[in-house]
Amino acid sequence: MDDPVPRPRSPLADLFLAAQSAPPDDAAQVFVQSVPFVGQVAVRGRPDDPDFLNAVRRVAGIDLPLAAGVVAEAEACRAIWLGPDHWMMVTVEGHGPVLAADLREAFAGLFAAAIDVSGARMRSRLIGPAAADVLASGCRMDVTPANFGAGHAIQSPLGNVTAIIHCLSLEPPGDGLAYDLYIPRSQVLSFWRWLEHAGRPYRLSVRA
Amino acid sequence: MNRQVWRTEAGGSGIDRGEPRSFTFNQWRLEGYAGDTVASALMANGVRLVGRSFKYHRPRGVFGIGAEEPNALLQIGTGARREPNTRATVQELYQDLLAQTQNHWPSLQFDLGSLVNAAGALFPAGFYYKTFVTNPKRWLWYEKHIRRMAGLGPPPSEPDPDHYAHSNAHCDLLIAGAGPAGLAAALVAGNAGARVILADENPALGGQLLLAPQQVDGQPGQEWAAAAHARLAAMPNVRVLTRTTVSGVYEHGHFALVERCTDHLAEPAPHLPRQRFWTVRARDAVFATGAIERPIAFANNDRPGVLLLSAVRGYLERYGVLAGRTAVLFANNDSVYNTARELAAAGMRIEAVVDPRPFVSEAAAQAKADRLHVLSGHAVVGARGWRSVRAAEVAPIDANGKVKGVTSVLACDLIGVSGGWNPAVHLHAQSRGSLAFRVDLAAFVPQSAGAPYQSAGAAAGVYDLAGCLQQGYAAGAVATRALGFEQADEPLAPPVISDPVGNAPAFWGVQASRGARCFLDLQNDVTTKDVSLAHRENYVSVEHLKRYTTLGMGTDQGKTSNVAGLALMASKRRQPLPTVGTTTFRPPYTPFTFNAMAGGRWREVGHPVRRTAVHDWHAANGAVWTDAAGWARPMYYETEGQAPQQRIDEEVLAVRQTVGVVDVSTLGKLDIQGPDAPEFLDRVYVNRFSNLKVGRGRYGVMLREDGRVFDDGVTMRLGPDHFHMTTTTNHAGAVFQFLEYLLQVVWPELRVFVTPVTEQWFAAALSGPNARAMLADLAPEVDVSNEALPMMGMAEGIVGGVPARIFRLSFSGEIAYEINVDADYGLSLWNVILAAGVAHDLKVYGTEAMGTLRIEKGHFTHAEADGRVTLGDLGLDTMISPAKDCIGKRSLSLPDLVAPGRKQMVGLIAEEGSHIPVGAQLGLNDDLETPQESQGHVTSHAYSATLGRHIALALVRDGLARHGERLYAVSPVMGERAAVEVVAPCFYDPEGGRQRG
Repeated sequence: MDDPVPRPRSPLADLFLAAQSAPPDDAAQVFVQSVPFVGQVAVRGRPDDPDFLNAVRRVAGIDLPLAAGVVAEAEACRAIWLGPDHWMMVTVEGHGPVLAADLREAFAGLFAAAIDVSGARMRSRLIGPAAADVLASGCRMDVTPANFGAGHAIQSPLGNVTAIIHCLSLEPPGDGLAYDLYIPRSQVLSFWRWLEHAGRPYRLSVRA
Repeated sequence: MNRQVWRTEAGGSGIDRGEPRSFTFNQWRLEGYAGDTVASALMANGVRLVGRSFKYHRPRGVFGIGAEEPNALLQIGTGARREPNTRATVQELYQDLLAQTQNHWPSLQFDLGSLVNAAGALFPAGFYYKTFVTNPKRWLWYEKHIRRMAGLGPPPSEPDPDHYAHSNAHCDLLIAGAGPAGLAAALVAGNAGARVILADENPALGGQLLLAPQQVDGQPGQEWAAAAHARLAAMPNVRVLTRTTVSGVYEHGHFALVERCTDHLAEPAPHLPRQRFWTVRARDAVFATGAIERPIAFANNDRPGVLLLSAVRGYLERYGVLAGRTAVLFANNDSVYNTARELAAAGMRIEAVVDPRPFVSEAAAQAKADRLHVLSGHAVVGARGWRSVRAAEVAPIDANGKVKGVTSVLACDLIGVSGGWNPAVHLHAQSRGSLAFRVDLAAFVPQSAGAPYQSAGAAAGVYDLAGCLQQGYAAGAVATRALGFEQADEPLAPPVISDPVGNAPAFWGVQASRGARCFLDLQNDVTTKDVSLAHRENYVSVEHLKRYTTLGMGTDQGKTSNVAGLALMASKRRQPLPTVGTTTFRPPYTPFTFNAMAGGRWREVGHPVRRTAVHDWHAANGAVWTDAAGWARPMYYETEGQAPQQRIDEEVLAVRQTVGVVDVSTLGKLDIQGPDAPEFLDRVYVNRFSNLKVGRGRYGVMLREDGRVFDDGVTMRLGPDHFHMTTTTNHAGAVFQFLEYLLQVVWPELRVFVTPVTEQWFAAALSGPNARAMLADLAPEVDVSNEALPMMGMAEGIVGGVPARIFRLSFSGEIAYEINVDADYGLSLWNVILAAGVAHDLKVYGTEAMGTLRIEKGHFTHAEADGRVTLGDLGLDTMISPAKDCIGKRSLSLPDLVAPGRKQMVGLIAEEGSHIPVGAQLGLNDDLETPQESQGHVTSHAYSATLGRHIALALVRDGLARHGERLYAVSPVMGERAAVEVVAPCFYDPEGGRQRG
């Protein structure tokens, strides 16, 4: 039989292709960018277990954030606090299974778990002056920059789904804030419909 | 040619005379200016008659100047954008606006419905109730006629073409109303650094400052307001929302606001939402919502040309419009005297100022000295005219308001009325603040003690400008300091020039004579007589009074009428007004469209569809969809010229004879890890999992705490401390929540992590005699022999080039493998499977075929385990491990769960050629007519192409002992019946040899 090279596929692939071929809207106040494939690993462990925290530090070079809603950054990955014993580590495309395996090995004998969930959520990024307004139209949490700034993440109903929303500074610093949205894969198309609706007053536009 | 003959030569702070706007009112083309409302533009053109009343079809004109308007309800726009019942007093004018009157036939000028007016004695309060309570059948005939006669404008029948937005906002202080008090509060709080939201329903801030000539700090009021607006808009911590009504107050600092974004625009940009619904969480709030002027009841006080006095003044000040040529002004307070001077200065003839107070106030004396015709101790007792006021009947009254002398007739075309003011306490009352009645104001005011939020300015019963500003500053400072902002200093209130304010004593109306109507509620045609009638008929509760007479109902909810009606009720009962009380204030403050609330959250925007990784393939290949717990799943695949059942049969037979593949990604999947995971599963499932070998799976059932079956599925042991649990599609979320609850609350000592991974995996099930050979093709590196990969075994390896977990388990009763891969690669795997399937006669099947296959095997789903059923009822109680405890086990000895007569799962087989009606009950005979005791009911039914017969699963009373019995499936609803034989639930390969082969 043929053995074609398997390719990952994002539910948003066609939409983004179509949207990107449209001329850019100069009046747009908010833009959405898709970064469909990132490595994602669910990390579980006790925050008061130094062996667990050390194991993560050893493998990923990162100190897991222990305060609610905080995101820690390292060179090759970031760790998003999702709960007192639950983090999501984000890494580059294709690296999820590797990171999960390395962590599992380091967790031997510990009460801790690392699960590759790279396919479970799709990531999109919102940028532009009205990005926080778009979020506010679907999120009951206070997502204004004064309350929810760079380096923070929340898991909250957003429009018609439950999303992880991570606020980060654009490079170079001072270029404003961006919001990475991690949306459950099965609902990402429905979320897109909501995003189009919520972004309409701000002339939401797609950027490559 | 300018036909705006009622427009003054100059003046009108709210309009731009350089920006004319033409618009259409019924068949007439009229002109107004930018800044006009529809009401002010109509009045500028001399239009008096703007509608017919609700019940009596009497001619009506503009009565107020803002949200309180009861009369001037128009349809604005056309087609799908036609908006009925729009208050002309708040609808801003735009170029080519189309306004139409409503509730008349054949025309506004000549309305046959007004014959009801002549026959009005036949239609007292409670008319419908009295007429139809004895013979409800008559209602069926009358209803359509009454509905046409009564009522307001009809809604458009087309779908709404506009879009609507939602927004959530958080602030320290929400201020409702941006008159002098609200502006003052916002300035203090904004300066102190608090996050402030200031909302006002009008396009410009200033409230009463815009409607009467006053001065603040040496500036005209509207200029001071505009400067304050500019200062607030420049503060990054302040959000000013114009055209935004604070509509509802809810618990825990939750407020609902409605912003009208484009209703004032002729051609709104398509990206703009028509309205935005704001959900605001505020730590504190100040209600500076102002006050609403109240009318005085006299005979025919509903004639076009009878207006609230403040409206008469406001139309002149704001819009440069004279509400009449010759006026009689009727007021029980001193605001009338300055108004009279302003109107006279603008060219209006003031025929008389009628002041019912039994004394001459200082302002009245001054007015008399200024040669105004002041009639103290007099009242307007009636209006003359039909489509417009022609004269006022004026008579002297005594201290009790009784007419005591000769009535004189003063020719006029305008009667301006003021009976004092009622604070707009709606938001305060909604927030569960209580009301106090102040006799000096004859008004209900907010009781500040115990109230969750402060009211300030006229909303708190402070009517003079200096007092409003002072109270606004104070309220802003108090709130801001309480929120922890230290530098909240209240500035000194600036000097002002404004009206003298005299108290407005209670004066609700004059006695009607000659059967003429004195209206309380103009919108609902409720007169003083209706309230008297309700009193005579022993209506005591004000809530009952409201519903019996309709006083205070409709789009204005009695903003101008309620208190007067309650006062009349109180006087009839000889009780003080506070004893009678008020009706409950409920949101919304003013009506708004349902779509603003829905905010576009309909169809998929509101209700997400869950799609598997190969959704698009299903769609492109004729999938007919079903909803399974939010997932879109193919039921079967449509082919042109093929009946659905034929296709389903083919899919079933492929699985039985060759091989089929089905997308099973929707099953719930939980990753369960930790040293105590085996013990945890033993406690959760009825059967044991701690003795399961690594690399093997087991079918498990979990119960609810009450002993009924909760969920089932196969759990695989991936490692000593690591399991992969599958749940049903329906209960994926509920099972996760329940397990998490058990770990957090019931057994916190167990070291287990449960992580939902449903979204991570795409899963395809291959089943059928050819499945093994096909899997061998797909995964050449994996040993798929029965020895290496037996039933309930698993393997990890590369399938179709993708890393996969292969679980061998079977729902269909055939050899079957569930292949799981990262969902990103789902489509890739699917295409490889289909390509490999060509050589093995592979067919894709859907949930219908899957359901048929499982019914043939007698596997239960939620159709059988419907929340009332135990494992024993399903014939599976041998699964329950006797050696250990589990959730729900102790409940199994409850008397009801062991009593005879429980419904138990059986199979049903129909005679050849007959089918089993869906939803059928099971009886002892096939009589459709005579009710009989149900023996049970059909839970799932299918045509089995394998057996060539219709089969079903059913829950039958004591069914396990009734195999072989003949019953009748009867469906009186469908008019169908069939003889069925009760059999064991497994119809096909009961020994299970095929799936183990």
